[in-house]
Amino acid sequence: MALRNVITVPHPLLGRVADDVGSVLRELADDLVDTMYGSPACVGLAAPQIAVSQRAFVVDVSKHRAMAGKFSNGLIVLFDPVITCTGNREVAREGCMSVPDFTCDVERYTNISLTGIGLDGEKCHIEAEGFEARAIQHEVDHLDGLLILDRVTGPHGVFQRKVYK
Amino acid sequence: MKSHSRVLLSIAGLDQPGIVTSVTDALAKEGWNLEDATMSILRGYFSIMVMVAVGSDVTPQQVISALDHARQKYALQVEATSCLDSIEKDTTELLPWSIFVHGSDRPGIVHAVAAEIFKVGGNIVDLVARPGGRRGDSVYIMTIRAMIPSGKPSDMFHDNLSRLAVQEGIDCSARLDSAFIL
Repeated sequence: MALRNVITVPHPLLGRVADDVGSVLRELADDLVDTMYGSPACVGLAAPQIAVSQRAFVVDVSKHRAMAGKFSNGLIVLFDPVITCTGNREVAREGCMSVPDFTCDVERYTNISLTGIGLDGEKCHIEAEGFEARAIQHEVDHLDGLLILDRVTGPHGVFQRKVYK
Repeated sequence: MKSHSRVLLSIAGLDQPGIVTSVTDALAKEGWNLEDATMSILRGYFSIMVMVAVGSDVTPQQVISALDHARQKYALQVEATSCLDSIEKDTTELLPWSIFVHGSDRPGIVHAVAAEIFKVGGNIVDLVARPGGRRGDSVYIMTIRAMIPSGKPSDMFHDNLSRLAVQEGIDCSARLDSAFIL
């Protein structure tokens, strides 16, 4: 088990488009999962956040209060994801471990479909909606060098970070 | 020995293009750094408040003097106040709330809501109010961010706002701010 340090703005790696992986990187996946589960309130983590500029991320929203009584895909570990966004666009406030001092109002699609390489090395397909879709879009943004600060809805959409619920 | 101090600048005047450029040009030429800033246009009037980090021996009057050109060119009112190094408040027991108010415009709405916040020991940290409406229907829209003590005051605050909405004939809602940490 390896809990990795999460880099924060203005680290240059966070603004870089990550490289394709092309295969399964088991150690990277384990570190991402361990660091995500080891960080209070965190439900997703992308490789660039632990200073690895490769296209990999993990998400697990199943225990989050926003998912109470709702279906989720559980733990998602994906390499080289390709995302297709559909549905409506909704605004909600997001925080990010790499942006420790602020939260931002961010507009996201309500539904997504996703393909990529799973932990077993096979191509997989995932559908998600609502909060889970939001979390996945947030992590894929990291792979493209985008942060919530790049997606903020307007000048009044940035807030000093205070509490997480 | 500290290397800099802070001056809070308050600038207002009739809005026209070039004010921000001119003001920031003067500050940058002095090598002073703009920290927090908030700007708005109120009914055609420009207003900005800026926290400026200046040299430790720089007085507020010197900051005003540095803005002489901008002040005269745009007919600006400029005030400057010396600030303490930093004011760190313990906010661990405070929760951030957003309050949304709208209704027919009339004197006293802001006060009524602010009084409810004060009553529970809360502190307003951001407030935006806009009157509007067409065909003679005057509408008042306001959003407030406030830090409210957790526990009983927060519960009371919600109830008090509901009561106020009925009493004042306004729409008033409040929610605890929270963010998804991803």
